[in-house]
Amino acid sequence: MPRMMPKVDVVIVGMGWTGAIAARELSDTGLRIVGFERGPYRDTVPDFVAPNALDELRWNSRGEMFQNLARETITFRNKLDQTALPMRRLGAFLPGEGLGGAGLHWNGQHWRFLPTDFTMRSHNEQRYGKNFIDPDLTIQDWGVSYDDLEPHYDKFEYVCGTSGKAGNIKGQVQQGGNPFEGARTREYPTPPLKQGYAERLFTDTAARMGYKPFPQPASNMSQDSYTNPDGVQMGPCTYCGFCERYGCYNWSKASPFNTVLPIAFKNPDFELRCDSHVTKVELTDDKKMASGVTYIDVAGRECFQPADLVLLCAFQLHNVRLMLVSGIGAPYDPKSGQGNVGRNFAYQTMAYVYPFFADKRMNAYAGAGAMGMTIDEFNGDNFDHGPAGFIGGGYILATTTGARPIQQTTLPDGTPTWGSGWKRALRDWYDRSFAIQAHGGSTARRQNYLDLDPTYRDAYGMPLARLTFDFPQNDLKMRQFLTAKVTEIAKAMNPSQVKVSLPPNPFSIVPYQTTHITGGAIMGAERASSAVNTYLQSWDVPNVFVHGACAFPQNAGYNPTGTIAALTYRSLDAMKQTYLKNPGRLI
Amino acid sequence: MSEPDINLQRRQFLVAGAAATALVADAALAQSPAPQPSPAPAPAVPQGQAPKPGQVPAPGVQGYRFLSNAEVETITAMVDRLIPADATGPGGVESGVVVFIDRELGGQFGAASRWYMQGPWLEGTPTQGWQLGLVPAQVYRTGLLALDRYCLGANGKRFNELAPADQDHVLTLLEGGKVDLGGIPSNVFFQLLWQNVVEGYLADPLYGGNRDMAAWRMINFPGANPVLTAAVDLNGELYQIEPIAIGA
Ligand SMILES: Cc1cc2nc3c(=O)[nH]c(=O)nc-3n(C[C@H](O)[C@H](O)[C@H](O)COP(=O)(O)OP(=O)(O)OC[C@H]3O[C@@H](n4cnc5c(N)ncnc54)[C@H](O)[C@@H]3O)c2cc1C
Ligand code: SF4
Repeated sequence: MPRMMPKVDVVIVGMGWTGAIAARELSDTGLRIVGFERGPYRDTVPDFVAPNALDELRWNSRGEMFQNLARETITFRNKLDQTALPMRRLGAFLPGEGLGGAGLHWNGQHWRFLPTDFTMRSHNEQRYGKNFIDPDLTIQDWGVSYDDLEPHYDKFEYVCGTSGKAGNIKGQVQQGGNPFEGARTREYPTPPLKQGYAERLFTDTAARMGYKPFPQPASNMSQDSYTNPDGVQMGPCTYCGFCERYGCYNWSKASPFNTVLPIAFKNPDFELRCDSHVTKVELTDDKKMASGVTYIDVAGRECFQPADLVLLCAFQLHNVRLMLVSGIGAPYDPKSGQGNVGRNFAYQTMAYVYPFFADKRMNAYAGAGAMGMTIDEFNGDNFDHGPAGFIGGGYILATTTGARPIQQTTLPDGTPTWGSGWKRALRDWYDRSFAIQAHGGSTARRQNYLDLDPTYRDAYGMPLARLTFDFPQNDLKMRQFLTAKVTEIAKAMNPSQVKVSLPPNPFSIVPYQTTHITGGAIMGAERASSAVNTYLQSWDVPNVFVHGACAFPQNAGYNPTGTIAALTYRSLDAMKQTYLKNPGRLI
Repeated sequence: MSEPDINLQRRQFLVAGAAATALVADAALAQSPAPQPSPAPAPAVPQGQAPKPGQVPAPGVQGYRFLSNAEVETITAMVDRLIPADATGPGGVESGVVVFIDRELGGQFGAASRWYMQGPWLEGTPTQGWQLGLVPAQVYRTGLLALDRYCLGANGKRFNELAPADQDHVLTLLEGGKVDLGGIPSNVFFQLLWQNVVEGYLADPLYGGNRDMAAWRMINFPGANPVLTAAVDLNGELYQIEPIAIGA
């Protein structure tokens, strides 16, 4: 028998970005809230102070703050007819674990999606005709518009003190910003970050070629200090170059710790339980409501925490797995196309091009997670896809996030893999190149999905999530198109040489690509084709709300967290204004 | 295309730096509460079993916790070929890479404490990644023994007794997956070894490798230096800053 805990009003499962935002937003409701986090408690001080925060082996190579796979992983296969096998070592993505989640070790690339991203199906059908879209693709509209999300995007940017240059304020295009972006109500809270030599080279070349380069929106603090609307302070980014995959030592990278958690912690009705792993959401006998969650506490004991409201904030993968394990909604079946939980898994389609300059030092170790100059000419539907034969796109980014030598060294093609020749190349080329990325979107298709693995289990005996994924043809065409554009820009810089690096095709779980995995509990205006409504409320179990990128019907060309947070703020607004007064379906 | 050259001053500094580290290490040893403080750092391996290859590990904490003497000999010889000491910069052995590997294998990494290691074990496709039911410590132990057997069979000599060119040939075969290591694909063994060699060479000296930050100095990496704002404004020139290590 699990230990019975005293009932509370709200349970939050997972205390990363979305869970921390939820705890902050509900802090003035008087509700009793328990936040569960499977990983440890931690804070900037004492856990991420210099110089220990700048330790490549500990944090990146050994992944001390990433998900501990010994306890929980996924299984993976490319195709339905293969046997999925466990992801035994971290690779393609690096989910977070511990208070703050991946919000601690993200880059801070802080994007909004394009207005047409939210109507990917209807917009493309309208512009190019129904037959233009590959019938393999199961993309769909989100059920919310950019305008619905704008106030929430704005709120999160001001909470994070995001640095950038607006490209469109209330319909007026602004010099120096992204001319393609949706209209925003006001300028970014802080000016753009400094840009390095690589970014200046890129900017000059791209502008000469007729593109409109602009600084990437960055939640790395560009000015000496910033106080957010809640009175929480941030310090100046010092370009330490240990940003993504590391905790920031200087309160300069927006994370739950220097934005929303301080307010959540002031609430006497909020209790944080770290090292507590939620294994299941328990349902009432009729399966229509959640009664609470079962979890394993820090001492390994099974406990039951009753609650009226359950917020799943455990990251895309774990939200979907918890829904499948708990029986919240019907599991997706790729053969029949029936069921919505697990459907429309999508990712990010990346390409990297490196120009090398024999006579220049990039000093690339001086960088920040979101330092970079971008062009958006080939993102979303910012260009005519008619001749291209695919839909979607991505941004092109010259970026300097650091030059941590174990992970980030890129040597020219033809370099010996070891020996004196390797060492010479390391010495000669380590700091003489930089990355230009094509950060491409990812469409959804019938065969890409999540379900429960029939064989492999986690440390608590629950089935692992099984991922079936390969790149859709549409996205491979897009990647080819973007890679050609990036290579053209790189060559126009007159480098000594250029290296093109594409993640393997078929998709491989081994090399890191991004942690922007999406879908599986997608949102929509129609119950028949989505797992949650546009307020992220489960259609099937209305006292369960599911936050995170699992709600994306497919992925856009940008990094997800700006949109994840905007959806979460919108959901919490509806919860506070409507649901809490009268619990039930919001739609 | 001009080949950028390491500056001479830095190399001289390197030598001076190594001497300084030796002094510090001596002082630390003298102060340590060990019952019988030894006057000089202990040798890398017990007398009479010193590794054959050309490089000698720099002074520092010595002695091996996990590797056997035979394993130390083989790994030392391998590291000596993978990152040889030459005019370009520090070699792997003098950088402490073998000590690094010993510490890692004897610790959480060697035990794969954060990897998913539950069966069933199937071969899988390359896209499914690591599917070998051995933790890194076992991969080394099993792989090195099998390598000795292979080298003795093929040449009548252990790996560390081969001429450098023959060692390079064996390493190339290992890298290509062409040697039978008792069930361990030799490319998997090689990749693990190479990963650890690079880590030991370039990680913070805290972990036993990258002695005196010599590898960082060779590439001008500032280490754990958190304030680099001034470097951002440069236009292709070298930014001069003394690297900082967490530990030494
Ligand atoms: C290296 C890296 C760089 C990134 N850079 C960017 C970027 O620049 N821009 C961007 O937009 N996005 C970026 N991301 C993605 C970003 O981190 C995520 O989108 C964001 O953190 C998602 O928030 P979340 O609340 O859904 O999940 P998380 O922040 O990961 O939080 C989920 C939390 O739930 C906990 N949890 C999971 N399961 C359970 C359970 N069963 N019981 C209890 N607790 C549980 C986890 O331990 C974790 O702490 C990056 C991610 C990584 C890994
Ligand atoms: S680069 Fe800036 S924001 Fe990132 S971790 Fe370093 S100081 Fe913090």
